[in-house]
Amino acid sequence: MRDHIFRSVELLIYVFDIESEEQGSDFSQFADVIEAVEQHSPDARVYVLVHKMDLVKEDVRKAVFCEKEASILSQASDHLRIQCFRTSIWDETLYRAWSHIVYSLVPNTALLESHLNEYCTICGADEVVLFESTTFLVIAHATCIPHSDTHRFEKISNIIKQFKLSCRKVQAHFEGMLVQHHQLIALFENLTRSTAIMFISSNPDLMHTALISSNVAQFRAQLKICGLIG
Amino acid sequence: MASPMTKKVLLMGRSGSGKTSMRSIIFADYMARDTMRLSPTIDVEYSHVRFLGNLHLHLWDCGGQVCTYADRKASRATP
Repeated sequence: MRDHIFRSVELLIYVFDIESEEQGSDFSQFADVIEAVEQHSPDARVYVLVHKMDLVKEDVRKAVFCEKEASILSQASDHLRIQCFRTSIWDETLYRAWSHIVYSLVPNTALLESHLNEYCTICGADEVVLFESTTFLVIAHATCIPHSDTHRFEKISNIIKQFKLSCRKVQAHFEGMLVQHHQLIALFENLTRSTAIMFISSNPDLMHTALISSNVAQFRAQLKICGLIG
Repeated sequence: MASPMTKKVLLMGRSGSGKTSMRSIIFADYMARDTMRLSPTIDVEYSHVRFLGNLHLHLWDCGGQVCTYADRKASRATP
């Protein structure tokens, strides 16, 4: 059974409950799992999620997480690549962690990003973001005009997902979203069968939905030629 | 043998730590509040997630007690 579970693992996601009252045995079990993975799948990547962080008071959340992260990393061997995230199902931190995890599994990300960067520059967009279209996890992005909020991607994943589920409740099918005011346009629409794109521009010359849609169509065609994503 | 685009992903941790809840939100469109209805995972729940068309994730959601399989001392004590 042990071999069966820990053999040919690409990635291990290990979840710690921050509110757990048995920290000692949590860590010894974690150490056993890490040892088993290291033995059977030495090339596996490990992501540790410190979960239920919403139960920790906001002003001490960062400190509590850092302390936990330090103890986790001290348990781990030097051979495995381990990365820690704090998560909660009640906010966007869940999307941040899972976007990171999934990103590490996607092949050709560098090529995809170079296409996206080129597209962003040519179209004069502030930013373009590529999402997987069933989970809305972020796969890649290109940023020409930097934005101060470093958590914006996971917030968008969370918002769009909630919106899609709300659409479903009223038996509507989510196809896209357009947010526009005098300073900004943000268009979210399906790009390919498995991806969606968000196009953001603050350039007054670009604030035409038809123009952006036609740009998106061009990009869709380009990706199809490259055979990058299905 | 698994094809190069099939990736095995293990989801592990103590019972009740929230593994199935987060999997259900990310991959099965659960609302956060609906995860309260989920029951504990017994043994391993396998799910196959198709991601970006050609990437297949074999997600092994391992119930909390499965982690004890990792402990060789325990498995020796209970053959």
